[in-house]
Amino acid sequence: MTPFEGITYWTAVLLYALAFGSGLAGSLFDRSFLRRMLPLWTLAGLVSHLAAFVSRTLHVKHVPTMGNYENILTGALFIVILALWFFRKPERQAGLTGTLPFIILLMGFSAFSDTVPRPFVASLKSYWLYVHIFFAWWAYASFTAAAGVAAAYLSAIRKGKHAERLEELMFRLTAFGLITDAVMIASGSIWARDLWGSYWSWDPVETWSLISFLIYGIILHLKITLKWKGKSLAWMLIAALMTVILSFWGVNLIVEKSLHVFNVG
Amino acid sequence: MLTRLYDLLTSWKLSVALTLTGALYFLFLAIWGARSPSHVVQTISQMSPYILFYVLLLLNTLMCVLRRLKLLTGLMSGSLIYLPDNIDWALTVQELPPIRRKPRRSGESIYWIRHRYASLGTLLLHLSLFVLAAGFSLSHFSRMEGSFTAGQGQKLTLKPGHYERTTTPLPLTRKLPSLDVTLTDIRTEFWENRLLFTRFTVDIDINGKTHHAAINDPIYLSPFLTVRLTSFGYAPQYMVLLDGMPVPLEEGAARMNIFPPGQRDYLVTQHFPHRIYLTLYPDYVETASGPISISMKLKNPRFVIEVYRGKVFLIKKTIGPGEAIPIEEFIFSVVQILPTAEFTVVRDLGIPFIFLSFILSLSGLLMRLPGRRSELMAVPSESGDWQLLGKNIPEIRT
Repeated sequence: MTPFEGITYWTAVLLYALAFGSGLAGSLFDRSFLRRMLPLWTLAGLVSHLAAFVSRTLHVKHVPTMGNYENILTGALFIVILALWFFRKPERQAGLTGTLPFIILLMGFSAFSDTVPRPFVASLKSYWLYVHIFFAWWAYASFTAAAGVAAAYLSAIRKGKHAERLEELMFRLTAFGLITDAVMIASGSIWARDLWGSYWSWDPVETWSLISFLIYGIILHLKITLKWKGKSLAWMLIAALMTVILSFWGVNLIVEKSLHVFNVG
Repeated sequence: MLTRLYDLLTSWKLSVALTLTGALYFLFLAIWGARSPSHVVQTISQMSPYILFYVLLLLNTLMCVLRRLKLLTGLMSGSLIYLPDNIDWALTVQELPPIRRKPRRSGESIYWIRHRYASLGTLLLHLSLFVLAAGFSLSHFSRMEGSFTAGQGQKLTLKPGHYERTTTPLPLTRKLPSLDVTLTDIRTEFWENRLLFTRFTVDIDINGKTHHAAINDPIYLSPFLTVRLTSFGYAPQYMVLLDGMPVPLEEGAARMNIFPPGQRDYLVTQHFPHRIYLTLYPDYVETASGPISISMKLKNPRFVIEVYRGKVFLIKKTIGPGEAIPIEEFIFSVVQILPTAEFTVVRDLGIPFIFLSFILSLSGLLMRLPGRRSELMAVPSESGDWQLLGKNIPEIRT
């Protein structure tokens, strides 16, 4: 990590933490000024985050996708952009407050990762990489935001507030995440066919991504067809996020032999 | 009983139960895949419980689609509005009726959504499962692979029985094609001194046509036939000479497993029983702990040669290209070191169908994205009144 990159990275984390504190305090103590500061702190954090991303890209001379640190740097950026856009209206900002802790935890976790630049190996030099990871990050951002909204929903329900809008947001984010997840799996399969000769190899990461896709598919089916809603839906979304975390980070921490060697160090 | 069976097969609950079962099945596979080789996981994934699950899922999907086909195709008409949740009857759009009923319970919402193409998207998404199943079934009964290795500048004529390694012929594919191959160029770049390719591309002529291939960019000879670049190596081009003879007794390029550096393999000549072990160091440097290679490129190539006759050790020597080593009654010489590339030819009838299923499913999902839709939502406000929210709200009386 270059000094500039380090400074901007940790400034972003600090600003996100300030944003979260501002949103939480504003909600708990009913302070409109603090609630108004939430998106501003987040936006400031995003600017710093973008600076870190650009710095890393220029340093390694490729899109940062190698290793835990680069994946978190890029992934968290997507989550913040999606969360800022989706929760831009004041009545939706509880979702932003709910999503920020995930972002802070992710970026803090990267502190334990190796930040030494890795080469862009020949197997990754493919247009499918960009399609695959672009939609992967949108999917994970959506699922994280949905879990954030679910947390905000549960908090609102506990306080006796109406939260239909948050419920609708949970559904929309999940649907968007499922679609982008499908594109991720399809593009990954097509890339796998070119690289490994087969659409599907039952690689652990592949299998976990399929499990995650099925879980969110079940959630949507339960919502649309069996009319599940409310607290049960919210808890399911929070629990389902675990499958996403497992499929991306967990598997490579446990499994030694996986064709998905992108997430090392 | 048939009615009950029909109701079961067309039920949403069975769909959810089967999807949950699938997630559990794949969880077992994921756990197995963490500790077992991939071919073991592949074998397990083709066992009968999994096949039964796929059949049940497809049957349930088909029955659900057929049962709701009339409704789904009806919904595609622009004149209908589908009202889920509390209200489950269709209305004409020209005359939107007033909201005569308020929700019965506090916190309940009434959704009106008009989204014609969502139902087509639903159909496409679920029908794509059948195309996917067809593709994987075809692949299961037709996928055949064969590999060959070629050195830079080498010409090969591959007949169906001449591939180095082939998988078992299957009912729909009995043999691989004949190919005339000339490997014109191999280009590699490594990261520092490590076995990490930052570039690995080849130029190859197949049946008179020049193709360019990379490690993740195979050659598609047809929708069902692919040639993939799979591996890189080095091969020694050698000569066996007898003392005083001007013409070599034997010469050729030996296909050996001597890359990455440090790997040891042997060859046996046609005329002598000696085993000649070779260890290649592409960029040779002698250190206190022995020879090493400081890079993967042929900058200072050396072979460490050990020769045995039976179990008797004869000689050990380090030579480079153009040098020779006398071994009892003959002379073994390394002429040059050829870069080689290994290719895998894959014939698979299911490839285009699987690709088509991806296109169909993604098209179906995209059709469900919010596009031009009218959505009304009635929510209870803080003051206890009902508030109408939504986009493109038509004229409505409450």
